[in-house]
Amino acid sequence: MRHRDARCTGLRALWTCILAWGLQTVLAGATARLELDREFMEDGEVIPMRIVVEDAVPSAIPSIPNSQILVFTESLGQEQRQQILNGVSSFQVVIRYRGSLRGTGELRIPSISVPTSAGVLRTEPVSAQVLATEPRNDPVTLHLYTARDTCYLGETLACEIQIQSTLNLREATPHKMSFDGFVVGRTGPGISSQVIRDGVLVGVSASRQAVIPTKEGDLVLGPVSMEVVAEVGRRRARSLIDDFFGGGAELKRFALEAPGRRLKVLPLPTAGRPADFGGAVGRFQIEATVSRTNLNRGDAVTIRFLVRGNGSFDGLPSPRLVKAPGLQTYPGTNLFEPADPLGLTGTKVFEEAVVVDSTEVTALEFQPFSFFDPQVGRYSTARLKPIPIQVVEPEAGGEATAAAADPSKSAAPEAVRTPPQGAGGLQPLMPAAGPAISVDSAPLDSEYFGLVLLAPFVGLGLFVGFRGLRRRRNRRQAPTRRHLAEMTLRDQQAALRRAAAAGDSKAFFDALSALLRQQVSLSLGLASGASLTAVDVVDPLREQGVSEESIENLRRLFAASDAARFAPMALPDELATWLEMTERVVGELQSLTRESP
Amino acid sequence: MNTAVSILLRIVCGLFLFAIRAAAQSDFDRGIAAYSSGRFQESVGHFERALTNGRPSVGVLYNLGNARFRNGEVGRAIAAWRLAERAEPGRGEIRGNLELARRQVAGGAGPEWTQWVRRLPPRRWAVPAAVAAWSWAILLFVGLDRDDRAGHFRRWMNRLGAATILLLLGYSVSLAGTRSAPDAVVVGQGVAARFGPVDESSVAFPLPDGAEVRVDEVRGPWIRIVDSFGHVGWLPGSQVIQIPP
Repeated sequence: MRHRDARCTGLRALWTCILAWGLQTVLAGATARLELDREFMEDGEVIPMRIVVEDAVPSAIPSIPNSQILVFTESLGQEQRQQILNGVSSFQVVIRYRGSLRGTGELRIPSISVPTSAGVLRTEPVSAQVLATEPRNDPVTLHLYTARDTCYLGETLACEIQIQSTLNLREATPHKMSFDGFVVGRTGPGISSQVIRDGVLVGVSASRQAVIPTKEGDLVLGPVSMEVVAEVGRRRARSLIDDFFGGGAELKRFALEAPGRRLKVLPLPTAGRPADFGGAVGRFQIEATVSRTNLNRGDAVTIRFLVRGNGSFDGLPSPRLVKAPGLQTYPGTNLFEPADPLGLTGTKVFEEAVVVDSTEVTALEFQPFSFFDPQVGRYSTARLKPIPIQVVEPEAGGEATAAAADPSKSAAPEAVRTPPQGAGGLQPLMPAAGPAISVDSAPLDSEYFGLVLLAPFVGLGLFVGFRGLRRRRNRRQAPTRRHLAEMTLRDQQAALRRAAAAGDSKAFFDALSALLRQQVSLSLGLASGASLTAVDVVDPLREQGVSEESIENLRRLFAASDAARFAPMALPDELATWLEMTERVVGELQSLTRESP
Repeated sequence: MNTAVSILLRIVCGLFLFAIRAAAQSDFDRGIAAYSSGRFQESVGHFERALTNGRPSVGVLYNLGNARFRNGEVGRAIAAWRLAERAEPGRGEIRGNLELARRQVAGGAGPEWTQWVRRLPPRRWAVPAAVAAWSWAILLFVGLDRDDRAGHFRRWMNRLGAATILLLLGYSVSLAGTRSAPDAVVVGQGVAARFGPVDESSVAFPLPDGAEVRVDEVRGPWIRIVDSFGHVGWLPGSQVIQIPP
């Protein structure tokens, strides 16, 4: 019972693994994400939202859950898009929603399950800030938002500039913004959308900008100013041409200005600051890989540090090796791969060349990498485990003998490494040579050994085949009733001839009687001819086309054979005549029998 | 007289063989001593002499692999260990060292299944498969005209048949795997596969010392190899050590 339970559990686990693997394979290319147009919204707005499903078709429209701030959502239907980008085709289904905002604070929409043709996909949680409604007197207004009013020195902040208008905008000049005390980072793409506020449709154009405060204290980000031209009314068109060129609208120029946002920039705390802190602000994870671990003295290897996370990547210092005798480091290149348009999250890769000039270096050790995490307001330190290496003296002549690159050697902080056993992980020598072996190809490994395995089945198959063949042949050669009858006829004819030649009239007429009845029964398809008489056979033979002469002869032969039973004596000449007549009749009957099916 | 000559010859031959074995054992011990004192190149020489003077053994091949590895000859070390592994596929030290060496070679030993094939080579399957196949065939022969459909004989014949099919399947898979698994090791630095079997041919791709490849064709001194990524190229035969299946 216990065994059966264990087997069931094992099978269930196996099925779960197979299903998980299959699901992962199927879902590998399909994604779903929830998108909001802006990061900053206002209380009372009806905002657009959308779920974008790529490379899969939703089987049902999922609902977006309500919350304290998002009080009502409804689906507006879905649309499909097919696009080819750089030769790669992708398929999107966009499910549109709208939702009403009530209250202020952080709008957080949790992960949503989207049932699709490729399985259930899940969106990442998204968040946005819902602010209090600002009084507006003008139809076109400019706004500057930041996520927080307080930040740390060196922290990367995202700000958003929004133009909100109840009018149709015709032109807009680039905005002018003061960044005194800040370093300008990456700029995100502009996004236009429409929201409903107090029952009025408001067009919103938003653009995002990353900024980094460079000094502490109270700083002001902004103000922002720009000019736009908007349609304020429709006048009566004077001509069709006016309408065609938009001359029917009354335009008005608006000079917009958003007041600067006051930000309190805090210095990085000195309490708890690690000695090795190099100014990294953000939340990071690090990993190190080394190109080779088996080296000759004097060889150079490349160490790659991967720093992942979110924060300020521009001034991020590189993780470092611990300086040790016999190690010379040469800083190399670095590359940042942002994961979002503003570069707030991503991966920065540092490369460093290291020359190992001593055989006593057994591992590459790394300095702790400390950073200030502004989300929790304290310092953290990531530590890399040492990477063991093996350094040997080069061969005479200085020819490089190092093994090739081993990208799998990495020193991720989370990775658990097996310590090397013995010298450099090599197992110790065997103390005894052991019995002799053959290094030649073993006969059992040869494919010809397969003949030994197949031979019994081939033999068995041949035996069964031959046996079947022989049985079939025997069956084919087994005499049929007709064949037996013909053989008997031949024997009786021979006996008839022998008796005629010998002048033995008794034997002759006995053979004649038997021959006639046998032949007639064969010709008529009768089971036996022992009791046949001439009267019985005349009509059926006539129907079969036997000539009248033969029938007459047959009648005479029957009569003669019947008479011979009482007086079998006859002269040899008479026997020859009877023989000739018999052979004629039998010949005709046999030819008729052969012709019949 | 003839008997005396025969005995004398046997004694001489015995002494000769004993001397050879003693020399080989002596080289083996010297190799261990040199290795222990860090003289790896000298150790390689001793183990190679032990291999030449005596018959190959797992211990000599394994120790030769260690000495070559410590001497920086990764490819030759892998070749020696693979020959030792052929004789004793399940031995932990050999497998451990091979894994260590393969980790240091880009494009190492090929896919994981080839390791399993090496651990269960065709010769491991051959004898059980042959015994099962012949036994089953004999039972089939005996049972040809036997009307015993529900009896013990039929049941045992079916079981033996299932076992035979499994063993034959294992043998076939192992044999096919052996034929498509890497059967040669690249030795030396700066080895590059070429597009054709001539010196003037352009370099197709480089091969690190210790890369395990499959020999696809032999044409004179050149061999066509397939590396673990499926790249095909030509190499002089002297740049690889072929491992018998």
